[in-house]
Amino acid sequence: MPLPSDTDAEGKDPAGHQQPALDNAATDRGWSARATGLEAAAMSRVKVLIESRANASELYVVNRAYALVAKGVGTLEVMLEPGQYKVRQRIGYAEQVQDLSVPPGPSLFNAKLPPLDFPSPIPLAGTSLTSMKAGHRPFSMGTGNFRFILRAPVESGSTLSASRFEHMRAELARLRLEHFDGRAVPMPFGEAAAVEADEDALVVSGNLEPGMYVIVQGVSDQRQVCMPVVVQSDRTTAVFCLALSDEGQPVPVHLGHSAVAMLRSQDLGFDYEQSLLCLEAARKAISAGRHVYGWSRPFRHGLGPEVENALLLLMDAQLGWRCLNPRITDQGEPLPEGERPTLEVDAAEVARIVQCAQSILGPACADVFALSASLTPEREEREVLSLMGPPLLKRSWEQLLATAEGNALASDLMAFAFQVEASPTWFLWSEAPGARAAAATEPAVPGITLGAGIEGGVPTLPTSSEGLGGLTRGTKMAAIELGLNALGQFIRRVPILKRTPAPVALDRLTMEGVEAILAALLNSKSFKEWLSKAEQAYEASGKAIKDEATGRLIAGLRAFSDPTLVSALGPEAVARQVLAALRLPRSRVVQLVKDLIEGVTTRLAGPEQAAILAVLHDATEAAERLPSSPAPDKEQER
Amino acid sequence: MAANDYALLVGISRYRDAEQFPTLGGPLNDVARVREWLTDTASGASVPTENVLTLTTTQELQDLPLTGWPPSTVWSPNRELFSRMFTGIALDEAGNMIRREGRLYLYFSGHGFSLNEDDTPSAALFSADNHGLVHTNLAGTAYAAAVKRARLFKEVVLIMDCCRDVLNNYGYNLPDFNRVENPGADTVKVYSLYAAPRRGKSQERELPDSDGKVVGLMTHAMLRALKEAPCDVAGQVAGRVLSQVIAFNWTSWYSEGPRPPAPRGVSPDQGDVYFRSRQPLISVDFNCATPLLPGTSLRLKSDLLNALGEVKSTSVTWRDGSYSWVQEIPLTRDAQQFTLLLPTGKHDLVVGSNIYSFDPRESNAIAF
Repeated sequence: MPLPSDTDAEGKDPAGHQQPALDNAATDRGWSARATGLEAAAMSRVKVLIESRANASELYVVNRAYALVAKGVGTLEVMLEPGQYKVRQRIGYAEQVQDLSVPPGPSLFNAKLPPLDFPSPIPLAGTSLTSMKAGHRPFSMGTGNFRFILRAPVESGSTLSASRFEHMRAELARLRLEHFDGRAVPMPFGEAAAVEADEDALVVSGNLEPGMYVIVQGVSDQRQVCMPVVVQSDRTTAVFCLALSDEGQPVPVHLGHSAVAMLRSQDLGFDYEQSLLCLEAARKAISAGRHVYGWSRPFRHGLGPEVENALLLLMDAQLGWRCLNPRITDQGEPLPEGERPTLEVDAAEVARIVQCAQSILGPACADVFALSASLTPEREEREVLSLMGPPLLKRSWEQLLATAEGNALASDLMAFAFQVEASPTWFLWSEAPGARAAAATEPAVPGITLGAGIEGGVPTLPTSSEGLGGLTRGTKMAAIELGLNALGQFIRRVPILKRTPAPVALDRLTMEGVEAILAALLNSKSFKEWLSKAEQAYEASGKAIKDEATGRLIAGLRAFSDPTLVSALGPEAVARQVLAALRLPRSRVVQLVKDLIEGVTTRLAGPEQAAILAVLHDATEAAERLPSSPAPDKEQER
Repeated sequence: MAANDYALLVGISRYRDAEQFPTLGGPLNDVARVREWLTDTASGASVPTENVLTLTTTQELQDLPLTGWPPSTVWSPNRELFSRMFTGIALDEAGNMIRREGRLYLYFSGHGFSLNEDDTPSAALFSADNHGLVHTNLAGTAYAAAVKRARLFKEVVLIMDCCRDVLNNYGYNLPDFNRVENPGADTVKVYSLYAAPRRGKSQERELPDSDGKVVGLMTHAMLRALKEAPCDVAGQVAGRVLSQVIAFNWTSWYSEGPRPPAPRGVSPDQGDVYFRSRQPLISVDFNCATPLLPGTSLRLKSDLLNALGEVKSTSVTWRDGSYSWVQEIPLTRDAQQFTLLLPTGKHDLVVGSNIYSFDPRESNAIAF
């Protein structure tokens, strides 16, 4: 019968940690070192160097039995017994497999892999969407320290059709650049210039003051997608996007698929293309959810051209951190401590990559902060009082949310209604036009005023069994009074439900408080019904729920309010799960729940309104049992 | 015969909303091929025929015109029917869970998706009755997780031959029973095979060896890999090896035309799930002149094998030199004999300083 394997290496575990490759009998446990003909062969291992173009490919080597004997990035140096192997090289979803025959012999065996083409928005030689007819180097397009390049790849020998050119113009017209506080930046995307002798690309560029900017893409009158970019004084930031077509039809530009590079301006005369190939390979590895790292190694160790590539450092550090992170089961739960395998990832090296990135981007860079906080969560003070802007990488955002201090900083920074967008690599969010500017000019978060239906006095007594089913009239009356009292206490304890529109102290309602409130609501059999009725009331009033996060919260509550589920997991756990799924800072989550409670209570009719007030009584009691200050969040994963 | 093994096979070729979900040619063929493999007692999984339940698009639905069908048409397979089929093997008549000491195969072929908020590899099939904004799904990964959580079977093999486009604003439809975790849940091994990585597309096409039928590439690759993958000393293919064989041969097996990215195999965190090899194997008896002493080391090497054996009191623990599999082979005849299932070709058994060379095709009893 099969036994549990004592290794969990890749392609063997979700984290991809490789155990030592033992293709040599002499080193295997349980096998004696007495010399035999077989062992002699085993001991004659050959040093094999496997190199990919530009050190950019992920490499995996298996023996004839398909056991993984080595893996890594760029170049592999391994000791192998003579024989047949297969080498798989991957960049994103592009891949090739080569047979590798290792001959016996004492000398080094060098295997150079053929180039692996992969699609990239950056016009790099050898990538599959680049026609080299113009021969432009990526950073030769445009001038100044910020450049936005939109390319429409065309087949060799073809020219860009007028309609595709119009499509590019139309896509650019949807873009604009803003400061993070919402102020417009005079960067006329609509007047982008065609690159000389290369009509496939339109470029808008200029010199910007150092700082955090946001590329804003209009999606509709009500919504725009935002992508942060950093501009530094001695560096050049370039954003490369593709205007693609599918079966002749133009495809909208997706900022999430863009490539961003940030190089020292003084390096632009050097050979930086190899570094950009690695940058794109790392970006695609992040997008594909891989568990390998090491793309920045040649550049940090002076093995390649000495080109500084800040984003490559950030991405490599993120990939390294993921390799370091405790393994999870296929249900997404961390394995018990004792079951974690010994990792081959060098934590010190990952820390050094973060340090390199910090020396370029500064400790207040959200990505640097998120990585530092994740690598050393026990460190108490990080001396960062505010972030310079949102993170560039989506993973950094998730890391920020996972630590208490990161969560607080993210919350301070993004103090406006937004929704994190689906994006494989970059941190993108959507917002209503003007939301950031409003938050910047009016930093106090608006309080919530109770609707007249509640404020106006005692609600109508329930006349049916609905809501407070099974209770006597006297009990119902008591419950309603309790509910009102509860609300009264609640209002006193939690100023968010103030009766006046004055600004409220938001920080006094904790995440645990809203969890308790939601748990109490979820425990009510009528909650799902209340939600539906409130939604119907919203629609009837012609005010559909426009905020995506609120929509997701309601959808989550509806999905998880199944009585069997609530009974099995417990309402507190269900509430936590629903809120965690929002992937938003705590303060934003708190705000959403408060909005929801206010929305539901004001839109329900008398009997139901009374019933929900009764439930809020329980919520108040639950909130009162909570500690006065929230416990620090030690979780690494949400 | 794997008497306690069960299989639920789903193939959806025709959807109510044919514009949103174009008709597929492969799923029904895929289900038929997988069923054949599962019920094959000679070189398949030996699942009892009555334990293999299928839910596929009916001929009646396939024959319907694209528009103008009766409003009362029930589009199947759908979420409700699958849930009922699953519940039929998961719960008894009183609604209590039935825990079995076997393996559950969950196979899905059709149009599928993943969710943006997935933390782990996941996928679901769209129900055949989806249209417009009406959405339900057959959430394969969620069902596999539920089986593990409730410890309904000892092992789960989940095979999702579908696309994994990433969607927002949807949710997986969960099984119709509670989420209470059984204390034995940790011991359940789940092996999953997804036709595509996250965001990737799966593909179906007619292949040279598919008898003129359209088949899903991943299902085809899996069945081919079970034939061609190197097996261990018990004639089994470890899930990890199966995943590697598919991944490393994907580009050469499907070199014609546009090729989707390679499938994604996800093995259990601890141990592995093993499949019977479909290649011809020979049973070889190894007879020792004296009882094998615990602690004795053995080694079996061939073109494809580099196996190390350690004798225990009643068995020999064999493992691959690169840790890709482990098997415990019982010792018989007063600890003097053990039997291995091996392919043809030259093998060397090394015991101490002695090497015993043999080819199972020529000799299936080795004395040492």
